[in-house]
Amino acid sequence: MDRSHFLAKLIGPVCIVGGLGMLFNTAAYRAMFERALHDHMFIYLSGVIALTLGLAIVILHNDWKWHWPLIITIFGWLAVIGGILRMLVPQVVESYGLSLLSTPNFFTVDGGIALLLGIVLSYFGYLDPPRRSSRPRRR
Amino acid sequence: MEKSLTIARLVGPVLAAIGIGMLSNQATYREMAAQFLGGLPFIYFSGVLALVAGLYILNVHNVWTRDWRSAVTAIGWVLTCVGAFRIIAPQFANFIGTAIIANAGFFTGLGIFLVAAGGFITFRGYGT
Repeated sequence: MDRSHFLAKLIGPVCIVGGLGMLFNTAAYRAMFERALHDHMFIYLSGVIALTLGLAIVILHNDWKWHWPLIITIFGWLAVIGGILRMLVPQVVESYGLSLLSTPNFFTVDGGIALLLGIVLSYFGYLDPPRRSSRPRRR
Repeated sequence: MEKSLTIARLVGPVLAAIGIGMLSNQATYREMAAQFLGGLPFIYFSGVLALVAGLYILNVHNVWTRDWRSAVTAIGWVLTCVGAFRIIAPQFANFIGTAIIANAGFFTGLGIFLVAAGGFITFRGYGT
């Protein structure tokens, strides 16, 4: 199993479960996010973990070729940038996050994107064997 | 076998330490659990970490044999299911958790179980 498939197997289901939660449990998610955004210590702690996981992904998997593992590389870099911002300026993350939450369809759009990404990553991670994806497309 | 040993060496001592903490410091653990269950963000966040850890174990170690290695796989499944439940419905995790910790013998029972399971897995991981 190569690194792309392994990381897709980890990230895909987490995105699917998070997306389902956002789509079908919106009221609880809104209350939870509002509470989390008012807690700077929580934002900082989530930043430490996001930065650590993001760096692990970027160090192990920094593939910028135009194929599906690019999603994982972008995911890793977003985690790095998000982690740094949360650690450096939690108050900015709070105000930006609260403005995002005030958008009426935020959880529908965000949950839909997370669910779609999760399905794509899980498909490639669990159903696409490494040999098939490494086969050259053009002769 | 190498992967089983590595996971056992990581997971075993963590479970045993949590179990010892529950048995020896029950009042603080009860208070800590009540605070944890009072905040949905922490339930959600712990769910994400549990799901990632569970999926990691299941992807590198999905072994069902008639020996101690099945316990490692079972831990992976428990972490995956608990993590998914906490992410999808954190308010129900809060509801169930509050009902469970209201039981007087909960921390004693879980503590004994975790010390036994953690000790067994640690013994297998470091003793093999």
